[in-house]
Amino acid sequence: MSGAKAFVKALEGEDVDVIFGIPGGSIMSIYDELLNTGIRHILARHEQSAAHMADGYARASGRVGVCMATSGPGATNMATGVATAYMDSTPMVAITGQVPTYMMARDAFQEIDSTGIYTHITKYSFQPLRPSEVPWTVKAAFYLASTGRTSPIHIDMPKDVQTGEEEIPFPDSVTIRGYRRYVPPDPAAVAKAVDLLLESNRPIILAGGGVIKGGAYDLLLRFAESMNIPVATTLMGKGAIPENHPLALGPVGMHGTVQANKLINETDLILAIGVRFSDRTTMEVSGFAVDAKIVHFDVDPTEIGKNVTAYHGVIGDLRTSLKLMIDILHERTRRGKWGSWLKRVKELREEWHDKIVGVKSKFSPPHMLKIMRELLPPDSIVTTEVGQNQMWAELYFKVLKPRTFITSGGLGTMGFGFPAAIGAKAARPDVPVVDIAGDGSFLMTMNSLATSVEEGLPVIVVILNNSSLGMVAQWQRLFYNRRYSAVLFSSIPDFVKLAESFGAEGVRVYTLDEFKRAFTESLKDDVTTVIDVPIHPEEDVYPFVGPGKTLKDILLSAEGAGV
Amino acid sequence: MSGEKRSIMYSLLVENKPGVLFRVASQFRRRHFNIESIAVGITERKDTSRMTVMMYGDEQMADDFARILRRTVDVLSVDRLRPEDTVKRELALVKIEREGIELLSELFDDGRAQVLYEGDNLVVQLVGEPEDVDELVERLDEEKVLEEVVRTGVVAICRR
Repeated sequence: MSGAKAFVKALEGEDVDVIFGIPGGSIMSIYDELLNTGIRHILARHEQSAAHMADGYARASGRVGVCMATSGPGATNMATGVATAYMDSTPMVAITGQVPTYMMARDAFQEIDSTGIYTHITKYSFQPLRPSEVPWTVKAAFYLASTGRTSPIHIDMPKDVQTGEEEIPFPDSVTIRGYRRYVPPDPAAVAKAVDLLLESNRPIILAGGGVIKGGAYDLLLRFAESMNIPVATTLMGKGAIPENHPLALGPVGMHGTVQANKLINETDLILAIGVRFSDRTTMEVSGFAVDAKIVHFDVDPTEIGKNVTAYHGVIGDLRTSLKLMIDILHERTRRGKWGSWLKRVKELREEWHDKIVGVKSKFSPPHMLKIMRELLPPDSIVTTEVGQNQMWAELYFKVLKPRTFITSGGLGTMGFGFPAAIGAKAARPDVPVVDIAGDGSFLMTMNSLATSVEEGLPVIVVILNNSSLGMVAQWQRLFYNRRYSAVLFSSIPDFVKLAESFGAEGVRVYTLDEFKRAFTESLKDDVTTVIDVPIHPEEDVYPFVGPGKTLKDILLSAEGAGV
Repeated sequence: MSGEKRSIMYSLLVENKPGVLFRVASQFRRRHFNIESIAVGITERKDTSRMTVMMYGDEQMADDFARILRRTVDVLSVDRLRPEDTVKRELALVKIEREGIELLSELFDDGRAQVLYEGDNLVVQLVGEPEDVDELVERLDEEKVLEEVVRTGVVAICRR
């Protein structure tokens, strides 16, 4: 059997149903073998987008996303998408072609040291050197991607390994002796966390992306409800708890909600669950939750104490940790006594939960996001680009279910949202998928319109169009004396015609009523719709905590109104 | 987070295959830690190598780093080697000028130096605790007879 045939057979063995990619010279044998399988291939128009599609697919479904590219430029283009997935711990297998083993390190055509590059942006990078190693490698890649702290894994496939024929064994399972999954938490460590909780007067849960990745959201909700603990999230944790739940405070951070940012500074105990305390969440660390003990739960032991000092750490699978906590609390049948704290939580939440702050016009992104929430069924999926659009979505779009809010949190990759939406649609064709976009980000990967039309994967793109790189412009307004450097676009494409030229629909709206109508129409369409929404060019995102500030320094407007 | 910086030693068991040293070294590079010394060799098992790594840092860094190394796929085990229960040795080959031979017997009458080659130059083997090797090399340099030094890096083993 050839290495290429063994490769696709091994992919089938992992129940891969879709691959996002672009072929090229050194991956052709695998592409040829794909024709003999039932695996769907979705043709991207840029390898970065292929990786974002696999990322969106994985985040929406909880399965391992698969993307594929050729050697050299295929591998370097795809690297941005894989790095994006790595920063947000998406389970993914990224496949690249490679020049034949006997040509390596001779600067062959389209040769790049892919393993050298991908080692730094994946949990592991494999390069099988014989066809007989291929099935083991594929199995190991899926195992590493989907266990412990989930992550992209890279497989570099030399051309002669694809074409070579030999006897090829297919293992049923793999063991990797240098790999620890850290699955079971130490029950004593969990019990200590419970003690700390019961001793506290003003506890808060900070839920991160790990809660969603680890499938721990149902247990989290049960735990929070049974103990009456308010839940703030990180950006990546949006969806860990329904944001309309009375205990839900929304996200903490640079563009966190007023109630979450305030309460994180008033709490005496943070149960941090599956968070990595990104600098965009903590802001200036010396002023972060100064009165709180931090109890940090994570599957990755290197996260404990990495960015903030943890008073106590519980290493292990989050589901098991939460289950143990619930069991221990059940045995003790003790309840926390934090009545006055809950009163404070309720008061702040009521004041700020629905409030729109700092907008210049009634035709603003927050208003549109509220309309979208009203019109979209709860299990609809929303992706975002990166910049102001993303932060408005973080603040004003209430996520009701896990895996329905997909954004590039760690790497902040512009151009992520649209291909990620297409990938999410491939995973969940049954639900509407919306990309909340800005015009700057959308231009980076808008060629994915071709993929979405060709593959019958209709999504809705809402372009909050300020004809500029809005987030940088916002910072230049605030911190650089309104000196605009390279942020204002003077050549702006007609997004309606652009969409139509790809066979998609395009519509431009100028009022909230028009927006409502267009959005409702697009939900019924079976083709991708781009809704171009020209917004006030100086509309900024508030609440905002400026760079270098602490979460106490919340700005509500450009004029410096605080709270 | 910062405390007194001192020499930290790890003993790692790793897969004996290409790319492992690169993965381990990258963990140090990313965090701007200089590897003061690294020695790698095969163990009693063909598929397993032992790395002895030395760096400077405080206790917090030492703990964090042990966790980072443990998480690295292909690293089988990570042990901190504490000075109080570690036996460590380093070997150096030094080339010195011929006239250094008298000095040699005068300086090193305790067996720490052994002449391996005598010709126009001398090649001498120095063995001892890394600090001893430092000291011997320094003495030879002070006497202006030193031409070249090659060191193995520290190898160490836990007594217990």
